[in-house]
Amino acid sequence: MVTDRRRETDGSTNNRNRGQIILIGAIAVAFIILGIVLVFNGVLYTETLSTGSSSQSASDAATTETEITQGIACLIERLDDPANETEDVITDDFSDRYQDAKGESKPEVTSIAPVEPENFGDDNATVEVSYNSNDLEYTTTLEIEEANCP
Amino acid sequence: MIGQRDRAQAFTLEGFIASIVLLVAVLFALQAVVIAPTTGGLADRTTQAQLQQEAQDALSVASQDSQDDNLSATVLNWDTDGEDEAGFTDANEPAAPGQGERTYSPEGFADQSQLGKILEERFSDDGWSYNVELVYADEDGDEFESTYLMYQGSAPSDAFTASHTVTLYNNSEMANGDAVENDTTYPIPETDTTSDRIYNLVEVRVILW
Repeated sequence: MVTDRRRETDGSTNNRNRGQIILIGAIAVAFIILGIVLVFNGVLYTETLSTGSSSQSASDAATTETEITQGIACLIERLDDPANETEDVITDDFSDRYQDAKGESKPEVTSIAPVEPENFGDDNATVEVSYNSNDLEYTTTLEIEEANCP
Repeated sequence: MIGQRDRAQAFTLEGFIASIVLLVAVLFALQAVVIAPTTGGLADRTTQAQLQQEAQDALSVASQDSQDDNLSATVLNWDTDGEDEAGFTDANEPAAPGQGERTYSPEGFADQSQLGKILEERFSDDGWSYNVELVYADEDGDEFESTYLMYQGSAPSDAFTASHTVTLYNNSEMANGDAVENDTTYPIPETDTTSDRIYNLVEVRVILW
């Protein structure tokens, strides 16, 4: 067909040939659109697959609260003068040690700060816990009593 | 002239069509590989999350138990009076590679602790294997070391873990009645603290597969 065109150089034949090219061009464009659809389909499929379960972090947060409550409750039980000592032990040691221990195994930061230490009694303490991980961030206040120690 | 230009257009289109044929072939080949969520391992994602949650719950239940075999008592279940050298009470299995402390069998661990009972009933009896590892800070508090309570082999890559951190205090009593700070054979050292009240924080890690 191309050789035909070379031989016949008059305008009418040329127009007929152009019509064929437009037809083929339209088919090419259709294939391109189909191709794009396929690629996007694949991308969406991959996205669905790679979305992990994020529900685990909620249970991590609950575990963190239990660990802190037990840690501080049993601390109160063991101190001679909890009303005056608890705050110091929490700020000096427990907060740092806990943060290190958790950071060693999981990408998360937990900080523990005493709230209203003047109200700390012989059998209770109130602390503010800030929990930060890559998909969850929250701050909560825990009222801990000696009875929480198992 | 005009014929030549049309010919160039035809070549361009031919190029496009050829590239699309190739792209479609590659895409078809890629799509032919079915990647189901279970392709990577034995259990599917939901089941795995479920089992991990069960292991986590086992640790939570064991830690809140008020009996003398709860999680912190398990960590402190150190015996220096037996005929063997000091070790975890009635632990008779060989130590994990590179470790000095004898470990438990699943049955032995179930006899000694609440955690062991739950893990044995739920996992060991169903053919699962698990390690129980204790991770703790060293004397300076800047590095972490670990020892095993139970060791059933090196965990494969599709294993999953659950962990719970317990606090040990300087006057926590060990199984033999001594305060933990006075015992020199206990593998978990007293970490660097200013108040001298907290002994160490121990992460009990269950690795399940």
